[in-house]
Order: sequence, then C-alpha cells, then structure tokens
Amino acid sequence: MSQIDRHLKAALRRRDPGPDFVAAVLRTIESEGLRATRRFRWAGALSRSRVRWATAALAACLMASLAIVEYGRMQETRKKGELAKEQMMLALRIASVKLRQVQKIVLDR
Amino acid sequence: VTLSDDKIKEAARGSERAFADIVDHHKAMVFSIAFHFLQNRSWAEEIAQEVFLQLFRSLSTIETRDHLTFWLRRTTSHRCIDWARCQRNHEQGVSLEDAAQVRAAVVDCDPLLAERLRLLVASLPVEQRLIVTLRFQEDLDPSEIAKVLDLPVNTVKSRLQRALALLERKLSARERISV
Repeated sequence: MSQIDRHLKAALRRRDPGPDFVAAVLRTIESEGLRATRRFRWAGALSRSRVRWATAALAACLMASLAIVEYGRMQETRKKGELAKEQMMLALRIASVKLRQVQKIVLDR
Repeated sequence: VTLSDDKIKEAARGSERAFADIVDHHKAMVFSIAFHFLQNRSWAEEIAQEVFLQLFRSLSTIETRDHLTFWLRRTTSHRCIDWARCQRNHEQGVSLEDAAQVRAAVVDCDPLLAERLRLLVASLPVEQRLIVTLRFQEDLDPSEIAKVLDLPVNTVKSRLQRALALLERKLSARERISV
C-alpha cells in the first residue's frame, strides 16, 4: 500500500451521523403516513417465494380461462357449421324433390 | 456486531425495532459515502435518510445481509450522483458551519493533510470521487466497485488510477506552495 493510499484510508474513514439519526429516520417514516406502513406490512407478509407462487397461480388461472374461452368459441363455430350443414342438406333435399317433380312433368308430356 | 439475515426478515415482517437496528448498523457507512462525496454534513444526512426511507419501502426485496450492504452502497452512490447532477444546475457552496464540522470530524492522522486530501477528493469529477470513496472508505476492490456503480471493471481501474495520479500531483503541488 502506497503512502497516498494510507493517507486516503485515514482521511476517508467512516464516521457517524448525528446521535439522533436513527430516531430521525423513524420519524420520517412515520411522517410518511400509515399508507407506507400498510404497504410495507403487505410487502413483508408476502415473501418473495409466495409472490412467485401467486404470480404462477395467476398466470395458470389466466391461461385456463383463455383456454375455456377459446374452447367455447370453437364449440360455437362447430355448432354454427353443423346448423349450416343441416340447412344445406335440407335445401338440397328440397331442390332434389322439386327437380324430381319437374322431371316427372317433363317426362309425362 | 454483525447483522443476521433473520433481522432483515423480521424488519420486512414489520418490526420497527429490527429496522432501527438495521439503520443503526449501517448508518455510518451510508452517511460517510454521502459525506465524503458531498463534503457537507447536512446534505449527507439528508441523503442517508432518503436511502433508509427507500430501504424501508424495499425491505421485502432484500434477501441477505450481503445483499443489504450491496443495496445500500449502490443506492447511496446513485443518490449522490443524482444529487451532484442536481447541484450542478443550482450551484451552492459549503456553509461555514458545515466547513467547521468537516474540520472537527477529522481526528486521527495529520488533520491538515486529511482535510487537504478530502477537499482534493471532493474536487474530483463525480465518478472518480465515488470510486475513490468506495475504494478507501469501504475498502472495495475494483470489481466490487464496478458492480455497485454499474461500470466495466477496466473503467473503474483506469478512473481510480487517474484519480490517484491527480490527487498525488495536486497534493505535491500544494505542499510545494506551502513550503
């Protein structure tokens, strides 16, 4: 260690703030209001691992609800498709009957 | 006396006493970083209070005592840089009262030399000043300082060397003048 290093270490040693410092910090926190304290307690109650689990559970719930919504939408589309198919079949059947009637008339003449 | 990880958890759960113990344990470190950077006792106390207030709000994110020390050094350093940037816009001098307190605070080694050195440190550019403070007050090596200040290690090393060379040069120049 050089001489300047030693001098700097001595000159920049740690020193204490005023004797009232801790009390002043606590007073400042108190003057910040109960809101901060409540937030603080909430934050304390939820440890990091709990927050992680809660986030994972929330994400899983979100995914499940999205899947349910998507499944419902697919079912609706399928129902609509089946209805359209039935209507189409009915229309074809009607057309077929009509065609047969026309064919019979034409052949009878 | 070392601070246990349990004390941090206790404070995070809402214990005022545990939080007061944490403040008491780290007050000298936080205050001194700010004080050596700003050379103003009242500003340093203000910054230290803000840092502990921020700690109070962030306690749930602190995991261990090493993490706490790192967090405090880092937050104090960044607060000092912000303060210096702000002061550059509203240039203010050190009050006579503060200057007197600064002088009274130095008791060991040659008080005149220590005072001269601290004033020279205070005249360094912002980042060099912080690097020198963390190096010699907190006894951190360049890689630790780099983590605290979010700088590459080589940048810290070169700035530290530059700062030391400048301090030595200025110190010897002043000694020549005083002789």
